[in-house]
Amino acid sequence: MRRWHLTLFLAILAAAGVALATTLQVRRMATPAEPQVQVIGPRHQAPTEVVEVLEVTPVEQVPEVAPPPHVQPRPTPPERPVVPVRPPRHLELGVHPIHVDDGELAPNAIPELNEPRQKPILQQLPPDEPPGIGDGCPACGMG
Amino acid sequence: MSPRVGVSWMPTAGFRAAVEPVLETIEAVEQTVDQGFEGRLPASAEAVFTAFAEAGQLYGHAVGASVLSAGREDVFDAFLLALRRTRRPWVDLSDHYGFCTAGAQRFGAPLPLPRHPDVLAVGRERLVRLREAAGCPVGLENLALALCAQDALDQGPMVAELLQAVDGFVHLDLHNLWCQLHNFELDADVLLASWPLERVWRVHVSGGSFVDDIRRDTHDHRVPDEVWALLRTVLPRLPACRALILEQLPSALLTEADQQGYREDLALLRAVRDEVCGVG
Repeated sequence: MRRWHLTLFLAILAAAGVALATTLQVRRMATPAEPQVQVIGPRHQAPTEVVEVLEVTPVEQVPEVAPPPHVQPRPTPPERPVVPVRPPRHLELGVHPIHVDDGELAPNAIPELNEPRQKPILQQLPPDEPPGIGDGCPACGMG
Repeated sequence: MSPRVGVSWMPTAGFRAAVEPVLETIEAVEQTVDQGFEGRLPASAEAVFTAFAEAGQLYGHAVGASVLSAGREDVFDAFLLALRRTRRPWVDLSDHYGFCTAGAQRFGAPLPLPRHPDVLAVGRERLVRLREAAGCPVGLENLALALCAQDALDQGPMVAELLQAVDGFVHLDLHNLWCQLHNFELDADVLLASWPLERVWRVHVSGGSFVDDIRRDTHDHRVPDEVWALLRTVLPRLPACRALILEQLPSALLTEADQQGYREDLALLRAVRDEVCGVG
């Protein structure tokens, strides 16, 4: 066999190998990949109860943080009497939380109430000359 | 024994005109003792004070002692001197809680002070001297003015501590009490519970006025409905009360209508006393 025969044979063999490899690669890429499904149990059966078991991690104890030395605890305020808050007041007179009894006195009862009930201590005033305190304070009557 | 119904006697013509038609109904008289210090009382006032003193129904009331003042001994000494000089047989004598003399201020409206041992010491010492000069039991009247709700609630206990020094009495002004109820929106039962009601010997019933919704003890109007209601509530709780005194300033008694209103208030005072105390 001649030398060029061998070279030609090798070249043809190499070309055939390349062609085969290319064909196989194209086929693999054209075929969709099968999804990898993990079958846990028979598909015709409903899943049984699944109990999830949580792994318990031990909690690390956090030490109590003490206030800095320069921070003093706030003193307890002294107790004061509790003042009940009354409802908003009205500005009109006569509206007040204190109890107002029924049957307040009628003004027409006043004249007879002015009748003396006991021996009067004084029945008549002497005349004033001049009347009142002449130079007294008109607001308080003091001199 | 039910308390007497009386008037705070003002030595002016307007007051005389107001009370003269109902003179026979007056059971007690309160004399503002400072008014006699100048020695110019009209004849009618002298006659009234003499008659009621003889009947054992003349009550003394002062405005210038300033029992909580520290310092200004000259003013207090002058007051005591004048009190001794014009002394009458009062059943008892009251002045106001608080102070009205301080530094250059010789006289003014009485002002409250915080509850403090030093304040109590000053007040006790002055009350002892006041009792000695008056020659009768002495007491303190509650103020209308307070600086805050707590100040109002502290007033009763402080007065009680002051009065221990002289075995004194409380002169309860119901309008002043209502001023604090209104101004600080206090509950009536709470405020009343802070006062030693068993030591109330005398009651003031009076009117006042509003300034920017603040109720003030101005004695220049008729007694309001709230004070009448308060009187009905409180009077059964005052076992030692001797006198119910109607108080109004002469400046509010200048017209016939004002004078008639005053007489109606006096009649109402008697009626409430009669109703509550069962006086027939």
